[in-house]
Amino acid sequence: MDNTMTLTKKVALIHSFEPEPDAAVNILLTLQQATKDAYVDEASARLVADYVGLTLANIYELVSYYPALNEQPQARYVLTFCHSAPCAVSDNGFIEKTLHQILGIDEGQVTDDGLLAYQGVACVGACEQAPFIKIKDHIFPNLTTDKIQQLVADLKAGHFDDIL
Amino acid sequence: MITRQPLTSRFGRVKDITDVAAYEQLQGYEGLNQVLDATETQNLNTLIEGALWSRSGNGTNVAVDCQEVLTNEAETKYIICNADEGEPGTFKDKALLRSDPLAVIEGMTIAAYLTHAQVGYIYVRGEFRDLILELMQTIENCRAAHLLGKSIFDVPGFDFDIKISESAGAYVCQEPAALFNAMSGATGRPGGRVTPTKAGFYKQPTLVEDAETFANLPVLYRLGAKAYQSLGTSESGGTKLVCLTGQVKNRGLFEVPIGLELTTILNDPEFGGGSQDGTPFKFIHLGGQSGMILPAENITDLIYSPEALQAEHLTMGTGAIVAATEAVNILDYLVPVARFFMDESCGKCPACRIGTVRIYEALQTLQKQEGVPGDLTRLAHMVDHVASQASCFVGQVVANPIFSAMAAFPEEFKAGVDWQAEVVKEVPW
Amino acid sequence: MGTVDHRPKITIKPMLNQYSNLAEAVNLEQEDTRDKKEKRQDARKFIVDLEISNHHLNCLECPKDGDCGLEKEALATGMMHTTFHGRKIKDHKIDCTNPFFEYDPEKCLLCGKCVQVCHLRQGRDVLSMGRRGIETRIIPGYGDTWDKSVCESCGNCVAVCTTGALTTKNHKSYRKWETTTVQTTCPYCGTGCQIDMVLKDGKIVDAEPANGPANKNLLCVKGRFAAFNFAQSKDRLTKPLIKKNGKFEKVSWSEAIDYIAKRFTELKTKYGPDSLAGFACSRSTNEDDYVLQKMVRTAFGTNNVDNCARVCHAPSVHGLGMTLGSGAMTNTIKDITTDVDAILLIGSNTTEAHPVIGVQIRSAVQHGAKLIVVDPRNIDLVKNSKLHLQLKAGTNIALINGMMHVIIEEGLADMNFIEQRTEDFDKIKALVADYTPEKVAEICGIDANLIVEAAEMYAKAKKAPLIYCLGVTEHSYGTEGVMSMSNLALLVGKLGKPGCGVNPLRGQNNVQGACDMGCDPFDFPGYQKLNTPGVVEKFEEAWGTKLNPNVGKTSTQVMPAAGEGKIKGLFIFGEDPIVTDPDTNEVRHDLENLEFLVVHELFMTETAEYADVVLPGLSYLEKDGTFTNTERRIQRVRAAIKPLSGVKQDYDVFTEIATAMGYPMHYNSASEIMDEIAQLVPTFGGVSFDRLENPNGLQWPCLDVHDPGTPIMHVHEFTRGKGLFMALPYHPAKELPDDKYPFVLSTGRELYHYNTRAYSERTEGITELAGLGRDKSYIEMNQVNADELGIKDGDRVRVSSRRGTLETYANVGQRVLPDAAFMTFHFPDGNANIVANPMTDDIARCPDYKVCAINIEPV
Ligand code: SF4
Ligand code: SF4
Ligand code: SF4
Ligand code: SF4
Ligand code: FES
Repeated sequence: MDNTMTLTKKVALIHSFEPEPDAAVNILLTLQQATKDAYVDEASARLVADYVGLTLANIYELVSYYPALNEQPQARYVLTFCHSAPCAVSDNGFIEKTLHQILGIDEGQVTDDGLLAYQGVACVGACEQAPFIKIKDHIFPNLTTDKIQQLVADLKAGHFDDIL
Repeated sequence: MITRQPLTSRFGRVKDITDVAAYEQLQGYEGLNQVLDATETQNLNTLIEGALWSRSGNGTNVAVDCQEVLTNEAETKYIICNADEGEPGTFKDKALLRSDPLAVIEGMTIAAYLTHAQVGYIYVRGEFRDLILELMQTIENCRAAHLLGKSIFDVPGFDFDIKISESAGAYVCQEPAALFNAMSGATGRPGGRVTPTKAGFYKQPTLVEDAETFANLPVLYRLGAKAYQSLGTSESGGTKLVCLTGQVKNRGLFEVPIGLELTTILNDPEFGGGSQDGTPFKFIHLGGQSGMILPAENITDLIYSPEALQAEHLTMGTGAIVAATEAVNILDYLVPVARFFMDESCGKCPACRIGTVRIYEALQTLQKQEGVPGDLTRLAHMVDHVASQASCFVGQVVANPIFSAMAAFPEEFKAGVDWQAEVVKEVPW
Repeated sequence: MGTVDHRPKITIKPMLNQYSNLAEAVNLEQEDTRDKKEKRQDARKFIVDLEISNHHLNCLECPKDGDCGLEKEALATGMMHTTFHGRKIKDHKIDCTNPFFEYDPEKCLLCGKCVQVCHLRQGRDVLSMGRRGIETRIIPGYGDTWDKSVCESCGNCVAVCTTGALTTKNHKSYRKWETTTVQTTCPYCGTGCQIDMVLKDGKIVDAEPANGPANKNLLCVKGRFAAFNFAQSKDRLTKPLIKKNGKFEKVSWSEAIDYIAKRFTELKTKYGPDSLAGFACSRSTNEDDYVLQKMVRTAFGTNNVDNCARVCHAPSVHGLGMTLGSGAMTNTIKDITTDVDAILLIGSNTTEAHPVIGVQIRSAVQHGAKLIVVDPRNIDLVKNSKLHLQLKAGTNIALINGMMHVIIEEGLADMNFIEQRTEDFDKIKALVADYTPEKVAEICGIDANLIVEAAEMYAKAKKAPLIYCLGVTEHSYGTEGVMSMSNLALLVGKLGKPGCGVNPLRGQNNVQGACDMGCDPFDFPGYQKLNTPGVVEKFEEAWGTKLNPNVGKTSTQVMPAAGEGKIKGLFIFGEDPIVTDPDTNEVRHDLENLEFLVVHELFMTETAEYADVVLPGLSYLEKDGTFTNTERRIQRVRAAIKPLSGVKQDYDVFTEIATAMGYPMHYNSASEIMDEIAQLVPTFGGVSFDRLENPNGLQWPCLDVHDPGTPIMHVHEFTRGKGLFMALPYHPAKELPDDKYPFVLSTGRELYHYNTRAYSERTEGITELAGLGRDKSYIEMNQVNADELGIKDGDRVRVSSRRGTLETYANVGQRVLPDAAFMTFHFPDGNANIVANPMTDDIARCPDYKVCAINIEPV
């Protein structure tokens, strides 16, 4: 994916949607996904607000309310794991601990190189593959401590650069 | 010979799920053609006789809703497929959209025909980029084949098109009031109760169902009311998609005929296949996080049908079933359940906004066995107050898993309390 | 589709989740014996317990103590402390970045009222209920602190908060139970908002919005936060001062009054009465201004009396007086902002100059009104508008003629109305035939289609008020501009009807009143013209003295006359012409040339420095009286605090001077003065202080004690009989840009400051918010010009005109058109009036503040 979003590209992307309030979340999600740091900055939010006819405060409320929209720049890879009950029964509780050990950061923090972060989320519908880690659209199923270690090493080595 | 698993029959059998022709080859759009050939009354009767109950867990009869949307006059009516599927342990709608999106679209189109609705929406998680792209492609293909758009199926005046509305994740959007807000660009918080069939999306008559319910419509009309109904019980027709998770051997999605025994679903090798380590199950959590927790010994005779469950104050919910063995302490299970409600509280009602946090904290205390006398009564009263003061289902259903668990495993709750402790918590409310 | 014949009936069998095991759950420990009522009461307790478990519970320190919704509920339920020990909202830092109020997330009940007020009433949309669950809080802007948002600091959100979550900083010093309130009228703009002054120990400690007819519980930042500090400020004048040997010396009142009387009498004897003049104060009360003009006409013996409307809305008074018979707003604020289809807004930056009317326009737009903005600047309301006609400054008349051309051409004129209620339609028809949209587009520098669209939108709307302000009047053809407004409204029959009318927004709190009270060289009180037969005689009889029958000089004529030595003595009541009048250097010279100058003021102003005698005045908070707002509504001003020790009621000062000059006068109270006004002014016939206790005040014309007042004028007949069309060709402004001075400068106001800032600068926070975030003057210019000249935003620039030069800071952007510029006159470090244009229009003699040729160069 092309990660550099110029203003013109941003505007073009926004204008590919209907200029109606009900398009706001669609636009924000698409915009966020197309941006390098995967977050909605104020300038972009303002563009969207003006385009769909909502106020900046409206847009902020959306961005801050929904977990899928980010206010802050994100790490290159955000490793999400499920903290809902069904997965807890499938023993995925070790993932958080393991990631904490390997990366030396807390949930929500970013490694110094800006590469990695991990984040607990509610069920993503991959319960049958627990314990798993999800990065963007990709699921790494049935994990063990070793597999997690391998995954982190692979990510650092850039092995997934093309698919993620 | 009709398949016993009509909803999943096409799964994995088509190379390109967006391809309309491939879909048609596998009986696609046969249901809709039946509808087009019949009168309105015939169609409604078929729906009634087929006994299709909503699969989203809201417990409504689809025929009733359709009829109401039909009779409520309005310039624009809406068909909304809420495939957001926020309920943990549930992945049937995603599976349907990933493997057979045209079935959902055909179902929505049938609903539109029945109710004279013109605009459809599929509300789906925006994070699933690939799924959305496929869905867009599918809709495009339908438009190209005149299966969506103006005067479709060569029926003059039959106008129906579908848009995608992306969700950014909020459990409370199962509540139609919140869903409509979210879809219109406002924040997905409920702003009071709505009656969708009367004043739904943009205050117009709206049929809201999940993807599974819509996918049932083509099956119902293709098979005819009798055959469809006979897949299930006399009161509830068809099959149900069940998501088995937790410590069952075969986790995943299964299509079961309605009316099967619950134990069969859990233990039959065709379905759950028993527990992973062969030990007996301790409890199941039925219907999603908002459902009841049942001790395994109580479910031996339970039939998996809306009416049988109803008699026991239970529901199928979304079709999620989490099963756990003796290895799982009930409090360890409940803490993440409570956390889910805490995280999903939209913040509108004080009872739910702060109360769900306090419930979570109280369960954690018990989990750590740091409870003191009074804590259990406090917990029970707290849950009761939150459930009765919350203005939408999110806060209201908190009571289901917790009370049912307290009733089922009182000893484990009591074990969380130090009965010798000198402090005794007051329960002022 | 299938036919509807017989629809089958279905029985509904609900299958709802229900929790039913509470009994069992509770029985784990003890039995639940409560009945339903007890449970409900318990639920209330539970909610309080939850709220205070997440609360910054410091009632003793909290401004809301004793007036708090949560405290009240705690008391009612008996939940005085929380039984929880859990976590609270994480982001709990108090946001005190706004100079006037604070937000404490840990005291917020998330009731959402503040968000609603900001959105639906203030129309500003600063606030959101951000995040979710226990982390939910009110957040301004894009996840920012208050100071970084577009908040206008109106404080209207604060006013609705039930807890200590949103409180004013003023509120820290008092608790509700120690205070009383006095309702009065705001002293800033002409909207006439009602304010409750909050008093503790005889001092005003805060101000709150009251439910007045014009403001409906809203206030702007100035009324809310800057309407009382100045009155209690340390630098108030407390003693009369006489300049002796070039230095002011404190003297007694009797010495001052005797001295003033002596000097004025000397001049009067030596040079004749018309060598004297008096300026009234359009910030002061009707009663004061009435007595002042009476003093000038009787004791001075001249009609050289005027007020600052001369430099703003005199063209409205003259223009509309000529065409309709009355120069005031024809409809009410409420009427033109509720349930209207379109609004034609010309030359009014309403949200900054009349903020509370501005927000009501915003809310009219929210309710579906289409807003047409005609303004050379990209003002804030453009965001809310359907059309923006960004014409070149000084081309209003061409535009209106063009719109009339379109309306006549398309058959949208209201011929019935024209026939029955107007005269001279043929003349206007002939005139505007020439003004094709294309030609007008050329003159105004806008797209011809816009003119057509605007004309259609306005003409076709069922209810559409025309609202205008100084962008119409302050021109070298200002009075003609005003008459164009009535031409347009007459043409489409939008006069004398609800939701329509021609509505000049009057600038100062009581400029309407100062004009009504006859502080005008042409008119006695109530617009009774000097040259109408019988009028002079009427007042001679009433006042028991011979009066000068000659029309007097306007203030804009008095000043040059002083410069030429024709005016020798001047009494200025509460004005500061050095700051407010164009061509500062010339004004200084005029004042120096006077033989005797008295300035009656609250503070030592630049003008007062030139005076021979300076008299201390009283602020509106120390006097009883009335203000008349822009919609002709007479409202009470009530003394909230005691007069500053040693300072007399202003009207007493005038009566004492008059008495000392040989015309005895005395009033026991302001109410007595109003009774005299009611007797002499037919349109005030039914006005009395008793009747003004009614919360809606009274709108003149109010002919007798049974007359409820007149919200909408000209309903059956125009005040002058028929509405008069005036065929007015467009003339270019009298000063045009050339090679040496290539920019067109307009001047105006901004939200936070008010005119000379005498009031507003005495509230610290205002200064913080104003201007470019600093207490400095600035000039707005277009990016294009800035680039050409190599000027960057914030750079120091030199501004010069044919009259003078000043230095200021550049504010570069898109607010003004290329080759245009804008400045306020609030700031002493670069007062636009140094360069501004004193050329006036020929009828009302109002200066052209909007078109002045200047040059801008980098320093
Ligand atoms: S119950 Fe909870 S989720 Fe529902 S509206 Fe209230 S706070 Fe929001
Ligand atoms: S908001 Fe009310 S309860 Fe809270 S500290 Fe202030 S007075 Fe006390
Ligand atoms: S009005 Fe006060 S309590 Fe209500 S949401 Fe706003 S800040 Fe919170
Ligand atoms: S002070 Fe006024 S503009 Fe600012 S947030 Fe409050 S209501 Fe909105
Ligand atoms: S519960 Fe974890 S992915 Fe569904």
